[in-house]
This record gives sequence, structure tokens and C-alpha cells, in this order.
Amino acid sequence: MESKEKILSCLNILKRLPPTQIQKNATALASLIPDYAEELYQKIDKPLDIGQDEKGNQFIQSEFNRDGDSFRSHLTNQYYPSIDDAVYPSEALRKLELKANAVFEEYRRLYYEGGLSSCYFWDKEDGGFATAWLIRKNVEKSKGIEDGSWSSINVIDIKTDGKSKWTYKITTSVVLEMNIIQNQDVGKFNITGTLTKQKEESYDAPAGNKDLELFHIMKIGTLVEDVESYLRSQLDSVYFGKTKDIVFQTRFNEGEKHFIQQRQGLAGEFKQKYG
Amino acid sequence: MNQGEEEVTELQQYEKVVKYIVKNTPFGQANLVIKDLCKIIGNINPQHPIMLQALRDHNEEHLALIKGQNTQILTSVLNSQEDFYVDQKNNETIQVDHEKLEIISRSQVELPSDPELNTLRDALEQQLNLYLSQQFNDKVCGAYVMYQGDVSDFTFYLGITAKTINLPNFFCGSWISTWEFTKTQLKGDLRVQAHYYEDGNVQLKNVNTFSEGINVDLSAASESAKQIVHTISKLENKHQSGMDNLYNSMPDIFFKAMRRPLPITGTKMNWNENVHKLVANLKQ
Repeated sequence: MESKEKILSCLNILKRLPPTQIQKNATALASLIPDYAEELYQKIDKPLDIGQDEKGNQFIQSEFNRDGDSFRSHLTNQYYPSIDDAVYPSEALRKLELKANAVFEEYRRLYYEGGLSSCYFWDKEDGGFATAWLIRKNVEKSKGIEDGSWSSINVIDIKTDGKSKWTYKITTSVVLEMNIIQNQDVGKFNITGTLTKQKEESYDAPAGNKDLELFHIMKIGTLVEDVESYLRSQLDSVYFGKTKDIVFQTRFNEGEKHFIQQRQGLAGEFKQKYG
Repeated sequence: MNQGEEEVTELQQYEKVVKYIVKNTPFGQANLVIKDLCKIIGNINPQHPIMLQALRDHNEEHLALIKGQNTQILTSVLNSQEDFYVDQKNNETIQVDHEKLEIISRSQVELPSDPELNTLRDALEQQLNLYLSQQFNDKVCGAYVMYQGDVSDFTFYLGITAKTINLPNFFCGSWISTWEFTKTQLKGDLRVQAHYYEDGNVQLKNVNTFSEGINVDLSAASESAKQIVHTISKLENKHQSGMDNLYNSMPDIFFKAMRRPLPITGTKMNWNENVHKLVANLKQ
């Protein structure tokens, strides 16, 4: 299908452009394929925004709780700014959504000790449902860091085989930003990036579908915890370590290139001699 | 409006977007991005003037290294003319293929020059090549030296660059510094970029500016050149060790504040217990 190929090309390009400008990049590409702009925006990972309801209570704004230019709060189930004729989860799904948010808040407290979390659920045409479990955590302006943030976007697709098997497919993206405005030694320094991981698990429902809602929350929560923990462990080596490696193999510290070449020379000699 | 005119207007709109996208693409990936842009826009190929111009801008922005049989040149905004580049040292104009990064042709030309400034330029080139060989990745690196003016009022322009391009392993990097000096002042701009895109898109963008007082003695060209390049290398070394320190301090200033590897209890969350407890609380 032509639209699929064009969107894929857009996503390929987005992977190469600076993630600090993700919104601008996405808008630029969407202007080339205006008919598929909506579809493109839904596939993009970017730092999560925060909205408030009339009482000042915060909720996360994302593609998964958006309708037009308004966003639905996981607290009040209302859209802000308010709109008529919007999309809402079914009553049963909204009940599940309330429970999931309560539990996910505890997870956020345990691992993030701050930040904001939101879970959004929606019905799917194939009879299953899907959910997005989202977290936004900021690093305070301190120790030279101007902006720093972590955004987790966990999207889980839930299906059943109609009997007793439930399959959960998770795609998790973590978007990180770290911005240093002016450091006397290095000037302006910014590392921004997204890492994505997917996982799929299947489980047999509890006998008689007892407490099925709680079962879903436990299974989804465990998956989120596993994948987020894995991506967290990649923080140092992949997000940051990799960019350092790339720079330090482009330009070497004083004396280091000579040292490396000497070492390589010796290794070559050793190989020749002892095979 | 007839069909032909409609097409022109559409392309003009695309041009702005194409320029923006190609300009912001990490060096080494522009050809791939252009291919994808052609797929998106449709009915256009990488040799279209819009694409070629965007690629040319990209190459000049990134000090692309263009190779010939026994010579090479860096493309920059500074030595760029309508459809060729000026090689001051060899008194040539050079036409290049921006896609293949190859020299297509060279022509002799008469350029204004000053013997004393030429001597300093040649000495600087020698020192820069030495500096490149000592501290930069051999595969893709180069430098340029040009000047404007005369012995009483001159400005020299230097460019230093090295690139890492490893597409099979999903990473690229570039170190690009441009400098200018007069008799008494040296100024520089440095751009360091790194891009890693296996399972994602992570990019480093680091810019810094430098300024230092110097004293150029045209009668001692060799010594002056050594001092200037030494100053540049000193500033760049200081910048790089600053980066090293910053990376070492990241776990403390950044990671710790983000997300704990485990809750403070030392164990993973007990979902079963929490689910029952919290949902019961909800009912109240």
C-alpha cells in the first residue's frame, strides 16, 4: 500500500533527524503527506506533555487520549478543552482504567519517587482492547542541568483467543532529554533520544475468569516493569555511553591515538609470531 | 492554474521542507534521506535540482571531504561559488559530485595572492595535517586554510573536521571546527555530533565557541603556524576532556534522579498484593 510505504519513509527519516526537534520534524514531514498526517503522528515517540483539569489536577497528554485538539483526563474522564462528540472508553473499560491508574501510581511512586503517571484504555474493533501506561519525570534544574526529563510510553495490545488464553503485546519507548545550557568547559551540550523495546507474553486466565480485571492489571504491570527496567539499564551504556564512544573514536585525546596504534602494532606482531 | 503551474508551486513548498530535513541530517546519511524524500514526494529523483541543492548545502555545512586522484578539498560556505569551489593554494576552481563526494574537474584560475601570506598558509596547512594525523580518525578527516586581505590587514580561515560513518552498525559522528584569526585574535566555533540509531534514535549535539589573543609574526611563518595550531589543539583538548568529565558525572547528576533500578525495598513491586489492596481502597 502506497500510504504505508510513505509513512515508513517518514519514520526512517525521523530516526535520523535530531530528536530535540521531533515536533518540528514531524510537522515538516506531515506537510509532505497531509492525507496521512494523523497516522504519522500516532507512530511518533516524543516527550509527554502535561495538561490540567479545572481544579488544576494534572494528567498526561498523548496520542492515546487525544481527540482533535483536546485531551481526556484519566482522573475526570473529561476532555480539556471540552468538546462535544468525543471518543470515550466503554463503561467496563473505564472501570478497569480507574483501577489500573490506582495501581500504576504505586508503581510510579516506588520506582520514580515523583513524576506523573496516567493510564488510558480504549476498545478495539477486533474485540480486544489496548492501553497506554505513561510516565513523565523531570529532573530539577540543578548541577548545571537546564532541562532533563524521562517519558515512558508503554502501549499494550490485549487479545484473547476466545477461550482462556490472553496475549499481551507491549511496545515501550523511553524518551530522554538532557540539556546543559552553558558549561564553561564544553559549552552547550544536549543528549536526547528514544529507545524502544517490544515483548509479548500469553497467559491462561484464572479459572472461571475470576477477578479478570485484576489479572489484566497484574500481567500488564509486570510487563511494563520488566521492559522499563531493561531500558533503564540501557541508559548508561546505550543512551550516553554510545554517544561518548562515537565522539572518542572520531577524535582522540592527546597521545591516545599513538598508544592505540602501538598496541595494535604489538597485537599484529604477536599474531604473526604465535598465530 | 494549469497542471504545469500547479506542479511548480507544490515543488516550491516541498523545497523548504527538503532543505530543512537534509540540513539537519547527520553527515553520512544524507543520500539515504534524499532517497526516502523522493519516495514520499513521488515523481522526483535524487538528481532533481531541489535535491542536489539541499545536498550541496548539507555538504558545505558539514565540511564534506571531496576526493580526487591526488588531491582533496573540503567544501565550505567560504570557498563556494555558483557551481564550483575555489582552491586558493593551487589556483584552481573545482567542480564536484556531491553524491559521490568526488572531484569531477579542475581548471586553472588566476587568484589574488601574497607571497608572505602564502608562506604562512602553507606552514599552517603542514601543521594542521600533522595535528590531524596525531589526534583524528584517519578515515575521513581533513583541514583547509584560506586567507583574505593583504599583509597589513589579513584574516585567515581554518577548518578542521573528522567524521565517523558506520551505517551497518547504526552510528555516525562528526567533529567540525572552524576558526579565523587576524594579527591579534583567534576565534573558533566547534560542533560535535553523534548519532546512534539501533532500536531508536539517540543524538548528542554539543557546540562551543573559543576566543584567544595571539600575535602573528609574518616574518616567522613556521613558528607562528606552530603556535596557532598548538593553541587550537590546546583548546580542543580542553573541550574534549571537559566532555569526558561530564560523561563521568552523568550517573550522579542525571541517572540517579530519573528512575531507580529497583524500589528502595530492594525488591520488585509485588503486583498481586498491591492490586488487591489498592483496588479495595478504591471501592471505599
